[in-house]
Amino acid sequence: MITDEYLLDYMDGLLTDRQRVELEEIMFNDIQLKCRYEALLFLNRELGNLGLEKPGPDFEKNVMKKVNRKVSFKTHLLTYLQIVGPFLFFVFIFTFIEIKEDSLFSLVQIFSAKALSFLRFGVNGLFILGSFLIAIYFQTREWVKVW
Amino acid sequence: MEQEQKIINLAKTGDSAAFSVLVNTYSALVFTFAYRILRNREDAEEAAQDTFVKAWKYLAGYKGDSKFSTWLCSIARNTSLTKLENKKHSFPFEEFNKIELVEVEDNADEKSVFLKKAILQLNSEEAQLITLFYHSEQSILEIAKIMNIEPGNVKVKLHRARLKLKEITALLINKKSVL
Repeated sequence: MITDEYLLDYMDGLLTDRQRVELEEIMFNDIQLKCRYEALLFLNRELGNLGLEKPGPDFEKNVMKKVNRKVSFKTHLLTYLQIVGPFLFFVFIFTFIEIKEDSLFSLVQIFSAKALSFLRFGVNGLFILGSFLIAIYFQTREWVKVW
Repeated sequence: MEQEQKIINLAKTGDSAAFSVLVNTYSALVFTFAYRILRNREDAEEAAQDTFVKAWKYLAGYKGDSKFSTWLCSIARNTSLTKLENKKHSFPFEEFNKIELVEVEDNADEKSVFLKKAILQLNSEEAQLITLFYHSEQSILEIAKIMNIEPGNVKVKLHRARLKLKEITALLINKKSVL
């Protein structure tokens, strides 16, 4: 008994040469089998010719809008880093380098040691908080769909 | 193929115009694939858009060891299945089934209408297999990679899907001739 699955294998070219020749001989003498094969072949052809579904007319535009938003986020981020980079550098220096009383800086004379360290923490804290808020702003405005 | 590789390489450098060529080439395939999973045009469009945005994001990770369409279909499948899962959670079951009763465009010829309707009667996995095999011209091995199943299984399931399609189409045609 030749099954439909076997006919599909034949149609897909998955049979060996010997199996293929044998089946063709059987089909030549068996009209019913040939009809079954023709029906499958017809379905196969129709499926192959079936057009794809088309998305809406603005599909490409919408995708590119989202893609360019992502590019623009990267640009924003770079600009942001260019602006705050030097500031970050000075905050870092200000925090970690010891300022001596006899140095050129007269800050120590104005602030007590405790007030100065409080100020350092405050600046750093504000900077981190500010960066965090800006990142959230970009994320919600530009990247909400991407992240 | 070579031309496509050049476009992909350009897109990898951040050229969004090159990427738009890829979007244009594969939008119908990705949309059809998502539609066959989600059975709703609006959701499918959203999933297809997300697929391309993800593709853009992870394009550097595409090494070219598979066809670009294979890689894209894998992303589309994961995106659509996640969307389907979320939808199942947010809709009661009856509501969700109602959504699956979709319409096929009236301007298509009769044979296509029957076939498209028949494909939508298949289960999601079978519909995906048919789409990948016939529209995306993926080999059994490539389909196995996208669907995360054994190649032997792909062959069996694809056979089953086609035989089911044959039966459903015959039923739809009979129904129409009776009416």
